[in-house]
Amino acid sequence: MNHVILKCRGLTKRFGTVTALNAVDFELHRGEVRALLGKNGAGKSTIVNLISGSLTPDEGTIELDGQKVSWSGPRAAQAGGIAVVHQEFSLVPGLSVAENITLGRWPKKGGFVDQSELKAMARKALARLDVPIPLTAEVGLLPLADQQLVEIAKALVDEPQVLILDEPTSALNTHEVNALLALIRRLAATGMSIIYVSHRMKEIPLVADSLTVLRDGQEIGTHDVANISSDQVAELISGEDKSASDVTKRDRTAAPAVLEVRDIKVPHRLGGVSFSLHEGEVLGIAGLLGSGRTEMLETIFGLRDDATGEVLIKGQAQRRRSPRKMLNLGVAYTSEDRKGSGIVPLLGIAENLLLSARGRVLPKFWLRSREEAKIVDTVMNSMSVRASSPQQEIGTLSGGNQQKGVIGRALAAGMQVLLLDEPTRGVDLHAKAQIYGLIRELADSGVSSIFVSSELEEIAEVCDRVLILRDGLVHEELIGSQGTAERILALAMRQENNK
Amino acid sequence: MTNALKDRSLAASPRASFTETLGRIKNWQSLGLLIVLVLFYVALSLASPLFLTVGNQLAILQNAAFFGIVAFAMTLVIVSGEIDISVGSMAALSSSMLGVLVVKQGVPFFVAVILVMVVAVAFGGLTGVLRSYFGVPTFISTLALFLALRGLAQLLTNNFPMPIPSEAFFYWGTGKLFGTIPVAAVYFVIAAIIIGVVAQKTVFGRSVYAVGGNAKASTLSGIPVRRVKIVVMMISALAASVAGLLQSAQLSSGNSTIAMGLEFDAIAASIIGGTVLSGGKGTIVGTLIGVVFIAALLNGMVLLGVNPYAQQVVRGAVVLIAVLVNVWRTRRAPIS
Repeated sequence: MNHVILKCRGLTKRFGTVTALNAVDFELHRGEVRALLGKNGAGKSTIVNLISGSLTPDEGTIELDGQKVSWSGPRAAQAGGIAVVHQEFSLVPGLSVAENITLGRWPKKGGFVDQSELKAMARKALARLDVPIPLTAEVGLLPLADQQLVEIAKALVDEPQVLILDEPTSALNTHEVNALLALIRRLAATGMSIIYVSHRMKEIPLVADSLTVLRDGQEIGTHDVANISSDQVAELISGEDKSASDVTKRDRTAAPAVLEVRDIKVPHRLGGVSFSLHEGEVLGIAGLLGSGRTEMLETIFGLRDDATGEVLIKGQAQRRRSPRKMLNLGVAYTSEDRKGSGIVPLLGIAENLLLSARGRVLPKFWLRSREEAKIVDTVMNSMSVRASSPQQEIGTLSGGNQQKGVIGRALAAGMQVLLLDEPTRGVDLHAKAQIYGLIRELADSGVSSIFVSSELEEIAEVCDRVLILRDGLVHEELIGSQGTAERILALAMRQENNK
Repeated sequence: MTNALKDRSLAASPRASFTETLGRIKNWQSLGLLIVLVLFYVALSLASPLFLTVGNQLAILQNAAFFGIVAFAMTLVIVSGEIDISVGSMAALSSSMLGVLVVKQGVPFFVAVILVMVVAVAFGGLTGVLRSYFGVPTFISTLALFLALRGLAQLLTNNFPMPIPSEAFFYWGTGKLFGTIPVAAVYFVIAAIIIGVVAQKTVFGRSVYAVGGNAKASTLSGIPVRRVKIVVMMISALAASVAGLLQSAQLSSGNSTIAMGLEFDAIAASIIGGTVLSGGKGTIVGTLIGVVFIAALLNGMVLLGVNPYAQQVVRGAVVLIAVLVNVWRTRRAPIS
């Protein structure tokens, strides 16, 4: 445990004028599990990318087992003993488990793939995990948790000294998470050093020996897990003690309901959810990943054929919902998948803003360039979208500006109800604050929002009322200042503790 | 517009319209293409004294009209993220149907033309519905129609031309307006304007770009994605049918062997014009330049006496180069 396997000194990385990582020291011992914590943009992925060779440092050194290393790329780092399991899977669904584990290293014999050698390699990697996954199974048909294990097995093929896990539990349910955490402990016991990146605070004491907190590219502190409370950690991460935010939360439950949901059920996801959204209210839905948040919004917006239950808009039951119908009723939905389902990257920011307005607040057939310019100008100004011109392709803008474009699309069409699924994912801090401000301001003008987010702090900050969604059911309701981040977190996790 | 936005609406910042226009010209993707076309024209006129004569240019226009109308519609199809390889066979079927209806069945000419177009649009609708509601890629459905419609045309006519003895019909295909401008060229220009205006100035046209650029985002934004794709396929079929009728008029017959390789020229013109094969991007102006380029290329090669087989090689090579240039250009485009 005292042998230092990885030693980083003064790691610095700049992107243009932004310093993503500033003179960070980082030491990892053999067999240690180190949690790496920090907000989005704190520098977690930068340091991971530097250690694993995806980026090269502007300043500073990396030593692996006493040897100074400077990777030419991820492959070199991998060969040198550092493996990464990224949050996004890099598996080929149509190939077998064994083929995926050995991907890129398929052994050849006389020009053909040596299947028996390949299987032996894969078997060895899987044996380290001690999980029964059939080598010949098609990866695409496996449950997500097993795919995650295959992903880890793939990282183990080169027998790394350091294994980096980036949010490995984000797609898993409680039971699967526990199994994975136990597995990580087993790997550490064999002398492997592990860097564990996660947002889920509850997991840290279960899996990590120590933790390092990053904030704004700086190392804020490294502590033994045993010597620090989760409140202290939260303070280190956010950099401020949790004073009440300046948002005035209001109790809007007396205002008329604009949207009512009655007993929504989605097989395996939602087990009967009912609530109402009031005029000018920001309603937060807090829950862990997989708690059914997205499915609920999709059901309201008419994107799920497998859902049952009633949705009422201004007291009118809406059957056979579709996105078009809901938009005509003044309800808009922004997906958590901004790139895949939000922006149309090749079109300009102006055209992206107008997609829902045309045919609604604008005529159905001909474009009206003057009116369009006016709407675009208003929306871009009020949201402070930064672009060289309204014609700039939205795909070339920053994540924050893209997200403003997607939300702005709903505003341009005069929507009264916004269903926002992770509206701040992958958005920088400044843009986040602007998005919060915008949602609050819209609420003041009578627009109602449902705000779904994995970041409980922002739910606590923005929402008038918070519903806790756990395992497909609404369990608690917190109104106004009751909804503190700690309270929300505790409630969202409650089920996990019971199991 | 919500109240919050109205209140916050700042005085519209005076947009530097001159610099913006300048920037737009500089970034205008078709500009480079236009320069290439001009250089190409200069080269051809130097190589052959016949090339730049009025008569020859009108001949180029006549030929350009034939596949140009289809190419404009094809641009919409490709921008929407689809493809239509059945256009040549659709043109042949239209021609054959016209011959059979008019000559064998004695259907009045005007009625026959309408019938032919209705059938074409129905087939276009079929591929669109198969795509939108049954998930059949248009590459497959139009590949099937590519064979089937040609076969149907040959069944109808027994693969013999069916002469249509009508002076008026011949005029509408090959006549000259005011004694100089080929009627076909007028169709060509009208088609360019109509489809160009549809693409740029109508909600439907912009929806085509949105759908091709990101179908999921379009669905969530309330664009009728399925309907847009169906209508686009109908437009393509209609354009192919018009091209078939035009060719019939030029030949004064219903003919099942016309328009071989029409799909190639139409797709090639779109791609040369900068249309992105994966959808979401492309302009009618670009395609117009692409059409003139191909028509001039075909004409020039004939004038220069290039071996017909070699001509095929050149046509293929040009398309390949055009795609390479497009890929190269988009890769160079700055992505922040």
